[in-house]
Amino acid sequence: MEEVKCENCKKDEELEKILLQYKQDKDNLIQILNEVQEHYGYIPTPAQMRIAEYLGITLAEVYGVITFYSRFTLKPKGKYNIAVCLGTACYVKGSEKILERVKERLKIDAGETTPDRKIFHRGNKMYRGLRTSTSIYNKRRSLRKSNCTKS
Amino acid sequence: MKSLEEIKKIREEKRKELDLRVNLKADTHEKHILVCRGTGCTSSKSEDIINNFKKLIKEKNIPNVRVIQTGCFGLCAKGPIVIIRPEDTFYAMVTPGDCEEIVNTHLIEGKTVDRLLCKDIDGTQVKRLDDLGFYKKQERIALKNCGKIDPENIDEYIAFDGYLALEKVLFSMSQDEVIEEITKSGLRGRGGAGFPTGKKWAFTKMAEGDQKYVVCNADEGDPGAFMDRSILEGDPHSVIEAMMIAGYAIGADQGYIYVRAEYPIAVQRFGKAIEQAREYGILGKNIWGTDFSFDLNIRLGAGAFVCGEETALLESIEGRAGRPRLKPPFPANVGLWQKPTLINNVETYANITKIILNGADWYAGIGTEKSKGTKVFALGGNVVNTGLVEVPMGTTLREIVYDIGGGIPNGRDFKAAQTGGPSRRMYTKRILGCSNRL
Repeated sequence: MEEVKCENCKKDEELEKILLQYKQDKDNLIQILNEVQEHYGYIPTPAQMRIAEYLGITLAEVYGVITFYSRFTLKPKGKYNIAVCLGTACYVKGSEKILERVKERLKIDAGETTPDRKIFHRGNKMYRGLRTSTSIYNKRRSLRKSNCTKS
Repeated sequence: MKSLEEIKKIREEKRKELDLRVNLKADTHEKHILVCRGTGCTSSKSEDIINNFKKLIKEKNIPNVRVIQTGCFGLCAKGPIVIIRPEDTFYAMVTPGDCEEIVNTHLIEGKTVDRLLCKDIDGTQVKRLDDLGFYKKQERIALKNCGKIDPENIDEYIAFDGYLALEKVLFSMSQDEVIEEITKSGLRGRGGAGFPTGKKWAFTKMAEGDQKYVVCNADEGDPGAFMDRSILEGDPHSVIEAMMIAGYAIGADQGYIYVRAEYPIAVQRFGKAIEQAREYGILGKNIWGTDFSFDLNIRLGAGAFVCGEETALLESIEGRAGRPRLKPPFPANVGLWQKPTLINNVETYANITKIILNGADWYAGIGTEKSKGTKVFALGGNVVNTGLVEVPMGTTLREIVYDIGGGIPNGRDFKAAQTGGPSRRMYTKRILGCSNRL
């Protein structure tokens, strides 16, 4: 597994504080991960190890849960998160071109974050706003009917 | 800890104090400014509106005015909504900057601020919330307290018959009588499948097991749906009370509510409601001196749509990836930690207390032959009045879209409506049952 930079995770008191709120019971895994995700903006590998150790489960189990739920990420999210809808309706209206353009402009691939951590490309999620023809989801604002030139 | 007598006293005293919330001619010098703090209005700055009101009232030293946050009023298209009781003046699309004018004109001079009143679909200016066409065809049972009480104040819930149904159940009904009442009411699961609730309760009661659980499914994932969120935000205690009644009926002493993490306000309010109920001794051991004990915990989801399916939800509560289990066995027999488990949706629970208090026959008198009661709908898309509506079963789509929803903006034609989740069908004009001219 790749090394993720996390300065104080091992001895991080805040992580310990989060853990101490919960009993050492594996049922609490998702609750703990929710708090850790909130705290770091992602779930660093050392934190995963510590959580596994605390709950007495394997790292694989922790990793399996993290990758199952879309709220948990293994990499830091950016300040702004972009998702391009590739649902059928949006795809027909050319959302793939928008995705290409976004990748080209930001020089990152889906699921990656720009080096300054400002923008995290959430990738090809089907965004809920199906009634808009082509929608890019940017944090809470959706830019409706955006076309590839504008993006 | 409060004894039953103390709770009865709170109910009586608080009810008098809050009479102005429901009674236009209430005998009082007080005025209550109700501000919607549902997710929709909160994101359009209703928190700032509340703070501004509080600040102005303090600065200008106006006596007998209270500013209260409430749950969703339903008419989200006109939010943020401010209502002043007892006269029930309805101000729509209020901005934090409008507060000063409302305070000066309405509270000090005693006139209404006409500029902020709302126009009904037919163009007439409406002063009172209940005069809007939007509310005329609605019948509010599950949403009864939403927009009326402060969801973060247990006393206000108690004032409007809160925890009275629990008292009735604990002291005058047997487990079978409770289940019989729910069965007779004809209530069906509001999560979508429409399974008869009474039957589900009976199966779980019959199941053998030393430990049973009550679970509330608040993992509302369908695009555009916010019925359950609004109930949790506007009236969390009604769900707690109903889960306790369910716990009594099936013989469970532990409940879990599974809420999606995308509903932060609902999670916070529900958490607060649980704390208050514990403080009052309503949740806990040997409630009001009876043999019945019950406690409740919140479990957060983490963004998996599939966890709305009941067995996937159970997997997720147990801390694993939410992969559905094979059925049968059904959760009624083998559920949470392999124990018999009762799972109902938020809206289903929100109906329970009203059925217990008003009787099964009252509830069975509403709706159609096979579907009793009311249903809450989140109305969204290209309609004038987007928001939350509750109508009796059997109401046609036409009534919902046109009479309540106000039709399509700019007088355009109706094309199609979708009910339920993304996998449900589209209903066209033919099924809507309306002619071209509407």
